[in-house]
Amino acid sequence: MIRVCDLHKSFGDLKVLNGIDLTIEKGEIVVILGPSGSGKSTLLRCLNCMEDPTAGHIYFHDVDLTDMKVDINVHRQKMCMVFQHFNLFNNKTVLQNLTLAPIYVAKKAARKARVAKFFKRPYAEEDIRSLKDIKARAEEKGMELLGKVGLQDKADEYPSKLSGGQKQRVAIVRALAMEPDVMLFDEPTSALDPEMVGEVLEVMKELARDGMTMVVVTHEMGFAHEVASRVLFIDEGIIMEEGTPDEVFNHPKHPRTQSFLSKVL
Amino acid sequence: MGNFDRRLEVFWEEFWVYEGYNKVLEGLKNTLFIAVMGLVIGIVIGTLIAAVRVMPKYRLVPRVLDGVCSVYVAFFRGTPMVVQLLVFYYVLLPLMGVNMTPVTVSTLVFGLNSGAYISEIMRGGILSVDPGQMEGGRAMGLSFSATMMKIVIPQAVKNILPTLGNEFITLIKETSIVSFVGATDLYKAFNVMGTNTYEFMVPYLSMALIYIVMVLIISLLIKLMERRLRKSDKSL
Ligand SMILES: Nc1ncnc2c1ncn2[C@@H]1O[C@H](COP(=O)(O)OP(=O)(O)OP(=O)(O)O)[C@@H](O)[C@H]1O
Ligand SMILES: [Mg+2]
Repeated sequence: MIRVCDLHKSFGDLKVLNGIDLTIEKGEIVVILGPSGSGKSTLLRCLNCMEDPTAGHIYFHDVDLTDMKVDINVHRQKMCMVFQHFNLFNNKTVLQNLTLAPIYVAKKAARKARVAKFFKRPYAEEDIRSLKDIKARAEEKGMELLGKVGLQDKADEYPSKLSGGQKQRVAIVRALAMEPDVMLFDEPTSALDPEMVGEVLEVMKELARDGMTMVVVTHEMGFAHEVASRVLFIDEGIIMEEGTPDEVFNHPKHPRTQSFLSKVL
Repeated sequence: MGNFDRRLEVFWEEFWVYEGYNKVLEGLKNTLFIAVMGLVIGIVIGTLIAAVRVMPKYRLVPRVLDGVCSVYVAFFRGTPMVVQLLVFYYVLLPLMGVNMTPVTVSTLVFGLNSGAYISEIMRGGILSVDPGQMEGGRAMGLSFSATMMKIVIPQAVKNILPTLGNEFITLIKETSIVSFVGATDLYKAFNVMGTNTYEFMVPYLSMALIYIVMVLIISLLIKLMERRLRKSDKSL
């Protein structure tokens, strides 16, 4: 689903990624470990082109995202990101956070289809929907998703009224509302109070059980061990070691991996 | 001060009996119209410019737009508004062969001018919004402009509302220059009454009072608005 070829990224003189090769298949749960500053976030942000790679290619469904002609927004809708600091829309209610992007996408599709119809070009009939219908369906879906994470009663609250754990659960279902093919998580529990980490990990485990393709940067070794189908250890901008959780945690080959694990486990 | 009563009498005669109040009402109307419409135009222009200026500058088009915007802002902030007004009315419009009433030209120039100032205010407001808001929007596949319009600018506007209120006060006070191109504003109305009666003390005193009252009322409204916003911030 995602193929990364010889990815390099520098910020000025600082070389952060030094040649990453990586393939992620549908249904995989890839956990990325590594010391602070090793380029984990940068890798994740390159995947959905929040950062422009200095060199290399990223293929998503066999489309090269580093190609300037590609409409990156369309692909991001299928590759949603969950952030360490949630980044919920502060001026929108919880439910609006969930419906904003789906409504935007459906409205755009409807407009496109209407134009195509007018010019007698091919279009999908089901794209032509009224705004009311688009909104109603997005809200219905949004409430259903909120129910999934037990936050239906918060639908009309603003994000600042929520606890960190609640915010992150909203952020996860906000991404889910786009029906993404893959979800990227950048340290989703690092900004949370310890007692809230569990509730967020629980949601992520459920996603994993449902077969969502996930790329997760985390320091939660327990989660990695339990859920990951593959673990990558990144240091100095390259993948130093990769394998099943058992291979990486119990039989690390690289001395760097060994010393990292001895510090965090 | 001895003959203040006499002056007041002359003024009242001119104001009431000779219907000077018509002029004053017209002046008040124009002053408010120019300031309000100027502010509205300024907000639209200022928001657009601010959005351009915070755009990522990888590609050519945003860079060119950014250049155009900085020239625009530099021009309108770097020259006195009277000069802009005179240049528009006596140079640009005749050259282009366009006919406009003094009030329309004044409104336009006030809008263009405050657009330059508001763009800076708005830019500050946009930069004060957590960059995570933009990232959150972009990561969901919203375009830069959609994220700007739906997420960032509403939050920025909330932060800068008090400053916008002050800009409005500035505009109201600045309208006293539009008589340079023959528009009837408050100053012009009272000036005419003074000229008619050779008596300027009471007219100009009244003018000052009207300006002060207007500004006080607007300041009060701003304060109320600020308090409301702060309240909604708490519940937010
Ligand atoms: N926008 C940027 N401009 C300049 N330098 C950056 C930028 N983003 C990241 N860096 C630098 O790149 C390096 C890698 O950062 P990155 O955030 O990818 O690390 P990380 O592995 O996610 O670390 P952490 O565990 O602390 O989140 C760091 O040295 C950081 O300072
Ligand atoms: Mg990071």
